[in-house]
Amino acid sequence: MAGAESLDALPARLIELPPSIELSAEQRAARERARRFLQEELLPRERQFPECDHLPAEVEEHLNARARELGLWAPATPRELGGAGLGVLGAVLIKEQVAQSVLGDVRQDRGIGGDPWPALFQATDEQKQRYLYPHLRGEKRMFFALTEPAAGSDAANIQTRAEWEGRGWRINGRKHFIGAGGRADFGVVFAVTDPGKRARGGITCFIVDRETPGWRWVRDIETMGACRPAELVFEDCRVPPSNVLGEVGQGFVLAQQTLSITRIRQAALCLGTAQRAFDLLLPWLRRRVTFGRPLAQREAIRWLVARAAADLRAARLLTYSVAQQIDRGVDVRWEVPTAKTRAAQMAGRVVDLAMQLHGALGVSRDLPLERLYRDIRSMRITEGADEIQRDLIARELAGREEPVSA
Amino acid sequence: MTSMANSSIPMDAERPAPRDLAALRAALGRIEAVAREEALDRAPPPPSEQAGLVPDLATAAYQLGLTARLLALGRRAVVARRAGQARRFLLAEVALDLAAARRLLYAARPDDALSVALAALGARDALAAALPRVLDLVTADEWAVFAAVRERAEATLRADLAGGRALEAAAALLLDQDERAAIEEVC
Repeated sequence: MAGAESLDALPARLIELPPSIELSAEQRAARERARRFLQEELLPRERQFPECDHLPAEVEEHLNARARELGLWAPATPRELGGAGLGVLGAVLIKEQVAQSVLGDVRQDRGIGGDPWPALFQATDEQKQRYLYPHLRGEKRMFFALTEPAAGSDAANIQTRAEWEGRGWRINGRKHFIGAGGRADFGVVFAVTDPGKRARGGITCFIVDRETPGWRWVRDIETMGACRPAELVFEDCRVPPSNVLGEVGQGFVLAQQTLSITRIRQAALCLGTAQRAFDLLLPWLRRRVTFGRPLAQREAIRWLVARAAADLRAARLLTYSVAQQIDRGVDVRWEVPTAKTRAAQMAGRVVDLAMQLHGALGVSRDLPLERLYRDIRSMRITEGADEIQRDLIARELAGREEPVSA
Repeated sequence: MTSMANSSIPMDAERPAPRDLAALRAALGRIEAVAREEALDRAPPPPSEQAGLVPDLATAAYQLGLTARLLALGRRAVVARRAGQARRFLLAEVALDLAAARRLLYAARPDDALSVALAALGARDALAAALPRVLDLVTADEWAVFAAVRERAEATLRADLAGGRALEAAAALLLDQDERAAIEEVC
């Protein structure tokens, strides 16, 4: 009986030795500083701000200033642009730490971090002066507007149109679930410029200033978590040709490139959240006595904890590995969905387990677990739902079944 | 095709120092390749007896080789029958588990007992989870091959029912000491 059943058709990355993960001394040091930031600045403030969608301005300013002092600001942004130059892996290490606090960067619109949406790195020199540098200085906030009521996972199906009027573009459409959409000073907005081409050269990215007539904030959408993404409408919103980000027609590619990086940042968020839950869980199991024995001595619970640890460690290794490969310029189309979906699912499982094993205390507001539980759920949906990630993986393995975007 | 007899797996009983991790990874890679590619009418000896270095890791490598073999079978079936989304997602789940477990395996350090236990656990669970998923994928044409791979898989899984040894080893390291277990530092 022959072996090697179509092994040549499996992606090489499922067969070859995975690369070792190597952290630079600088990245290790940044992780230590992020840990200090977590312990000294974020954790002590948690009880003070238990249920806010954003911190008071003076607190946020203090945290941002402290993050700058510690060299944690804009970690993935190259030094020549004003960032810390720690790469995507460095940013992952930092985000993993700060996400251990419910006041950390659990939500997309939180200011701690400083890195722009990566699409903005495609800015022209003039655009950098107007948008990128003010964002890096913390003077301007931005949003990323791709999702629409009829186009979430199927991002190529966006309906927002941008029509050329001879001297500029006129944008009409509706975006929703846009993080920081209500508070941002500008945004990158994706619109169809050629309906015949759509994702294949017919979608363009525009930078839209808040002051632009026709941009209307409709509402902040209440969610089960702390984030309140916005619904926005663009009605005859006119932007000059100089506000095209990247090339006309290349917006979908730009969106995909951006999401590859932000999905890894999101995986890092999941790692931090899960680590916090795990760290709350272990001492509780040693301490909590039922029927004369600590929970830590009960076999069923011990096995659950061991599996959670394997789950967490595997997701961490996948995430670090993808981040490292992005920094090295390796094609990570296969690995990004793997890390993103694995980390999001893992975090849900670990937080749920920690809550369950804490009993009634787990669902109380005496502990941050209920908050972590509510915040982490969206990670399996936003920036590419689990189902989209599975489809991308299946497509890599067995070819395309039907068109699926982003 | 790699032969187990030619795979030069280290027989040294000593655990490698961290500087020897590359050699260990290569040895595990060979075990995995054999399990993945060896003809099914030649049964390789149990990996735990072949790689005296770290038996649990050798077994994990063998189990992941079988998991990859199941994935390849499932992939072939999905392509052949032009399977719909549900079966494609099953295939993706097998790949996800395999990718995650391989990271655990190749990041394990013999001087870090927790990393070894978690790698053993990850490999065991990935293989056990792959069996029913691939069962739902294979076509009649592939059944004999699937049955042969399943037989090998079940034999290695039976050796440690439910992965109890790895589970207990990991649990002991995580729960039977007062200080925080350092699973946060993986590199």
